[in-house]
Amino acid sequence: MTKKPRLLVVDNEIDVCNFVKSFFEIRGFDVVTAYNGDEALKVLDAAKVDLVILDVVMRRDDEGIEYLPQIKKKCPSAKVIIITGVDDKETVEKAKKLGADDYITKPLVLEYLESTVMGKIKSLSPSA
Amino acid sequence: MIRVKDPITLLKIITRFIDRQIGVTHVAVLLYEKKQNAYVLIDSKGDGGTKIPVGYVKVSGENPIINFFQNSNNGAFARKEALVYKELDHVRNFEILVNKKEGRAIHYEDIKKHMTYLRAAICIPSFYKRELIGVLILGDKLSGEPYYDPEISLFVTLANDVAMAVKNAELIKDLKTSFDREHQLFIQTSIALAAAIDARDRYTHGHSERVSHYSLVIAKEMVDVGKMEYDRQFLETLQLSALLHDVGKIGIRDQILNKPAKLTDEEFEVMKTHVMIGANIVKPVGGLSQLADGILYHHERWDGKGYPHGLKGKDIPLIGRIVNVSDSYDTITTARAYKKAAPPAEAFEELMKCSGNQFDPEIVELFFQAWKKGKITKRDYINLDFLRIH
Repeated sequence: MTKKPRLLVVDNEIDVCNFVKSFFEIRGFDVVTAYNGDEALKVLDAAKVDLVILDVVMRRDDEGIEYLPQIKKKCPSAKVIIITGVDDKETVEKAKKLGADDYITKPLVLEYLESTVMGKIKSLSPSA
Repeated sequence: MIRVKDPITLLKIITRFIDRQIGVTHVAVLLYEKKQNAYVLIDSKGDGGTKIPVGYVKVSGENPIINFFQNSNNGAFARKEALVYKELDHVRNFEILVNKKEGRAIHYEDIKKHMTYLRAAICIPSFYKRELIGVLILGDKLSGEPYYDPEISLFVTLANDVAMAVKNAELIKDLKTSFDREHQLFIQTSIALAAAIDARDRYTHGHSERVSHYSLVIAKEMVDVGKMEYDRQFLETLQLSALLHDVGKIGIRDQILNKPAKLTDEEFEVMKTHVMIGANIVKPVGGLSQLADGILYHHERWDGKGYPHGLKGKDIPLIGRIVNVSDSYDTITTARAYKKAAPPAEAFEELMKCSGNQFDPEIVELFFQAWKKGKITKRDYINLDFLRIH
């Protein structure tokens, strides 16, 4: 792959954004972060991304899941992985209908986060 | 051993202590959570992207780091009490630690990989006996220096203290939960029994529960005005005793119990036996010595003209004097076959009239004061947590 895969992390918590950012930067990603849905859309206006990690249990007035269709619309090629709380099957079903490609429940296993993201990136560029 | 009531507080103190004293990129603690069946990151200290967000990450029992510690007694590795990343550098890739019991292999390469996930320079297990309670994770020193053995020994001691504190807190919580559950079950059984008694008479529905409530209102007032010390055991006994004050009616024939007309002298003598029957029923209940008293003496009168023993004044146990007043109050304020329900003000007028002959005047007065303060609620007496009254 000539170009670094580009990843957008959307989470209300600054610690989560920073952590996931540095976690994937070490693994050769170009990572951008957004603290809420509006910011995420602005980021997508500026540049396309390959993958979005979206927290759907955001505590602000905007629920992350409501931004899913807009994110998909702005960047149809991007894979979206949602991060959800445990025992939240309803949200997962809803998110899948709205275009989420996969989900991970919190608290998450880092190895699983890595393999899920890597798997999605591979599926994006079968030639690489 | 360090004694802190809340083990999480202790963990936070320790992570901050290490962060400040040693100067590390980050400190984090993984703690076993039964509900998740995994080790969840519960505290983390560090700067910027080095800090792992709390509650965001978990590590399953399958994780090679966890696996290593759980099986470290079987291993041939030099250092059992901690994993030091730099030491792993010297271990050749093919070297494995075999868990003989399960026939599984743990590759050091795997451990290294997972330590990099957590950005761990060292991992220190926290054991309670042989149970792995948690793992303390330290990043690199800001100075770039390696960790020295005495430092690692200190961390090991701290980690084991944490395990002890966590385990103790857990055991205390378990004990309290099971006590609460049994207590609740006991109370609910008593309510069911009381309801069964009340059900025999269509006019006394909820009577026993209300009497129990009023009795506690009186007792609380006594505590509030300083007439009585707060005594959990007494309140608990009073609550139950009042709830079961008519349990002996189980042994009274229906023709007498539900007779729509005035009882004959002979029938009244039979009716009076319900206090003895009731006291005998609860006698086998151990631990609450005064439980029978509220039942046996709730028809004694202050002037000595009551039954079964004709006790007078303060010779009547307090618990009996209290139930006597609250029982009468409920009878006055609810409808019967022969009368309508009276409003509280009228009921207190009547209680006052009989104060000093039928009732302990002090208790009537306290009950009246409590009513004036709005302490008598009309709500359903479902929540029987006597602790809430104080």
